[in-house]
Amino acid sequence: MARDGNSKSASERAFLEIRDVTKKFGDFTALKDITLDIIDGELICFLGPSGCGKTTLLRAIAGLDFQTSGRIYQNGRDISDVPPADRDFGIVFQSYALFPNLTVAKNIAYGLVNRRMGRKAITERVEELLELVGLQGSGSKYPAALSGGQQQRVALARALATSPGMLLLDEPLSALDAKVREHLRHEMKDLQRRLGITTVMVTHDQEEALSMADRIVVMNHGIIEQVGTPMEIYRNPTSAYVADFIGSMNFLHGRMGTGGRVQVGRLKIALDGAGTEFTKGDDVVVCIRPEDVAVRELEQVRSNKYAMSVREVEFLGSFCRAILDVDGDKNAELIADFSINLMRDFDLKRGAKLKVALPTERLQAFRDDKRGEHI
Amino acid sequence: MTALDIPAATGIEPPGSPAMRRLRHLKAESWIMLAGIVAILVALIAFMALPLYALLKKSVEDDKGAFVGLANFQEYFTSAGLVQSIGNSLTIALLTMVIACVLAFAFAYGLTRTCMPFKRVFRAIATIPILAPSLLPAISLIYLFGNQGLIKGLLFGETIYGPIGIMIGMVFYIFPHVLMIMVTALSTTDARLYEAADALGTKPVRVFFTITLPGAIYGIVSAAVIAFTLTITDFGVPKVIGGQYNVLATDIYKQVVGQQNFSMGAVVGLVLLMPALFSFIIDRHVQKKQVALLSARAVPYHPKPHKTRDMAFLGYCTVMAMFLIGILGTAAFGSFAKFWPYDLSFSLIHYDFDAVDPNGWSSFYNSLRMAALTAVIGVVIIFLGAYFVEKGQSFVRLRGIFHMLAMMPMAVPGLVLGLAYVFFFSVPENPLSIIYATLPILVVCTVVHFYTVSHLTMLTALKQIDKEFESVSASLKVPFYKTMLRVHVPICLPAVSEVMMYLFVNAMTTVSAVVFLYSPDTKLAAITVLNLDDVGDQAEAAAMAMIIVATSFTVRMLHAFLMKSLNARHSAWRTRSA
Ligand SMILES: Nc1ncnc2c1ncn2[C@@H]1O[C@H](COP(=O)(O)OP(=O)(O)O)[C@@H](O)[C@H]1O
Ligand SMILES: [Mg+2]
Repeated sequence: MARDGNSKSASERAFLEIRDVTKKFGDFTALKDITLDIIDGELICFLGPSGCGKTTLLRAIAGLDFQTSGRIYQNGRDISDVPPADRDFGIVFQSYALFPNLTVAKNIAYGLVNRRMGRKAITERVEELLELVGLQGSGSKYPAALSGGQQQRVALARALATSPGMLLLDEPLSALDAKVREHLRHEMKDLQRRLGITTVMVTHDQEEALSMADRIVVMNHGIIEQVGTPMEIYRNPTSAYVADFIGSMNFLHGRMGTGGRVQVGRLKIALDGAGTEFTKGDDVVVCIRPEDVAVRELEQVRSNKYAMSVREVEFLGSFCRAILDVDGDKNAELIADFSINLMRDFDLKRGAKLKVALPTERLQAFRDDKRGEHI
Repeated sequence: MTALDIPAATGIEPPGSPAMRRLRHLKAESWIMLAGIVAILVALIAFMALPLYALLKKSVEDDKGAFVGLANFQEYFTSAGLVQSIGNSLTIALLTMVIACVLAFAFAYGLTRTCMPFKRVFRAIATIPILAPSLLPAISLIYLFGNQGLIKGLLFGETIYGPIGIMIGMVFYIFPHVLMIMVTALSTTDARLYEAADALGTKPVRVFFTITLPGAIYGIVSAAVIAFTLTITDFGVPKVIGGQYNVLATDIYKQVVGQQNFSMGAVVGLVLLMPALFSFIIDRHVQKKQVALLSARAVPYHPKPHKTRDMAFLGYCTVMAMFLIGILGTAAFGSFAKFWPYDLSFSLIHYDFDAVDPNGWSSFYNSLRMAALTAVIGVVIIFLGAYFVEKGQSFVRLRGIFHMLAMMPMAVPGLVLGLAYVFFFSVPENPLSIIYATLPILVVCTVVHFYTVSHLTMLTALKQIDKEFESVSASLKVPFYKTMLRVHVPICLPAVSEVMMYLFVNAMTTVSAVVFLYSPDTKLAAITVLNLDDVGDQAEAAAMAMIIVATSFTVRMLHAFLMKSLNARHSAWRTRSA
């Protein structure tokens, strides 16, 4: 089944369809006209800063808090007014919400007991789930006896126990140490792919979203900024907000000049295709990722070549981050990431001069409305 | 289902309001919750709001039930004797408040800010007064300083029957309540403030006035308010030892029981409601501020040893403990003495209650029954109520109203509540009047009387439970009541035990709320103490008070034992290597 969201065939319906969902808390609008399709079997991430409405959207999907207006369809069925118990999902919270007075096995079996399954069938299913999440033999422990990562897996097993049609995860990893978190990312993604279960994950951690998601929904103040695969979001952000939120980005503020060129401090930057929507005199912000600043093979580049000097170098382990400028011009400062190799080859250190290029195909330009940057 | 079966997602709102559409989808469990909330709400209205309304109505009627406007109030405020009581009550309450707050603050300071030994013992001794009806300290004071008092010379000719006796008795009675708040106020401080002051070489006196006192100020105000309210609304102490010195609480009793002047009783009741209501509002206000003060993460303060200071507080706390034990011990001694003060040999004759009162021992059994019923029925209703308020998923407005109603009993003095019950339930046309003069009305009245504190205790316990349990439960299609029983109740058992003990002990010791409501068949032990004292059987009164103390003490021990085993079990949920 298609995973990229852009190429959905006509006969194929989304698993979950969200139409114009708005949620208000009193006067405050937490979600504004959210429309989104979630495809069967994909892992989709809601990504955005804290307070942007991710949890609110997730809870509306679950039916835990009803939306103020708008509709939600699951498999074509209008579930907008249906209570959570009549929907079909499993959920994992940031706190895991494990019942402290029940053993791991009883936690996992919690939803099964209510389904008139035989005791033997339940025991077998619990064993199966424990194995699935790699916790064989821990069934008789209490949750408090487990590490954070293990607790997270129990919560996952409990949510999966009843084989729900959809898995909802609200910041499932953010209570964990960085090391454990990274490890569990792969494990969870792997598990999700094996089970093929449609999964919605909320996170404020862009790395998590980029590494796990099939598609990312970038949110900002109750609206969707952009939907796309991690690569699309990273390579072609459609707004300065997204560009800034995902990865590192240089923002060069300037004014549109003639011939598709933007004047940024002393630099003139040619935009190629990216600049056609602007007219002369517009305030424009030109974006380029630090790793896209080119130094090698400049002979093949025709435009946007500049002589710059290295003002500062920061060693970051596997690479170096350099701050470049043109004769100390603060308006045209550029951050560039260089491999250690390149640093050696070009003998780059503080005060060094070098020639760099800003490849036009790597440039993005947005109208400069002074919004959303440096959050 | 194949893709082709599926109708298009139109995004169009179906007809009707969202609320109505959602109502159609409502599960049986939601109806159960709604029914539960409504039931408790209706009960609180029927057993608190409506009786209070009846009291209000009575105050503007004459004895035959005809509307007379403010005539009763006019009569009240032109009666010099009655108005005098307002002044007396305020004087007593303010003085007691100051004395109790100073004594309790110093005691709490010793417990929290010094390294004196025996802190746990002092803490335990300080709770003694809770176990006894407020009549007990008054009886003891009469033994000590009364007309035949052992050490009445210490009063230098002053009489104990009056303001002095009331104040000493009240200080004893309210001490644990005031102390509890002071200890909390002094425990929640930030050690870093003291380290900073130390580093700057600040003098101890200055540290006390610039850091210690301001940090505890909300607690102190809260404690003062509680002290004031408890004193002005208590009936037991002034009844026994007040003599000719009239206060509001005894006026109500005299008007209603003595002169059968119900309208005037209602007016005094309303007058007594005013200070209680006022302090309730202050307290609410202060508590809100205090919560904000505590939310910051602070480093706990650990006192360092300081010989003179620690010894001084050890001395003070010992004196205070001796006062508390002395009062209790005097009542015990008096109850066992054959013929005070002439023959002090040991005897049990004063425990033969049936010899002086036909309902002597039976009143004790009534009390046991009433207290047990109050604890069991009360804890169920209070738990459910708090659960609905804290964990309910829908019906936001209804739950808000319910919580507000649950806070109200705190502002209503027991005497006023009891009187309101008389006006509401004694009317034959009221279908609820079938419970009038029965044990159930005593149970209901006591549950309502002590509702707020229990409700808050339960809320605190429930608030500590992960708020997502309900969401998880719903996603697993397990109805809320199953999760409540399997998860919330077991986790809340310590609070459940706490509330049950609180209700039981208060049901054993309370006089004010039930003094208008008992019948000969349902007389309670604490009422018997009152009656025995009234007719001059002081030793028997002391003996019955001691029986109450012993019972409360037993229940407390039971609770402590239960907590210990609960803790052992709960630690299994917490240990790392189960
Ligand atoms: N129950 C509520 N009442 C009022 N405001 C709320 C409530 N829940 C969330 N909000 C507000 O809605 C916004 C979005 O919240 P949320 O969805 O939790 O954000 P996040 O993206 O961090 O998960 C926040 O500004 C939050 O303060
Ligand atoms: Mg959130």
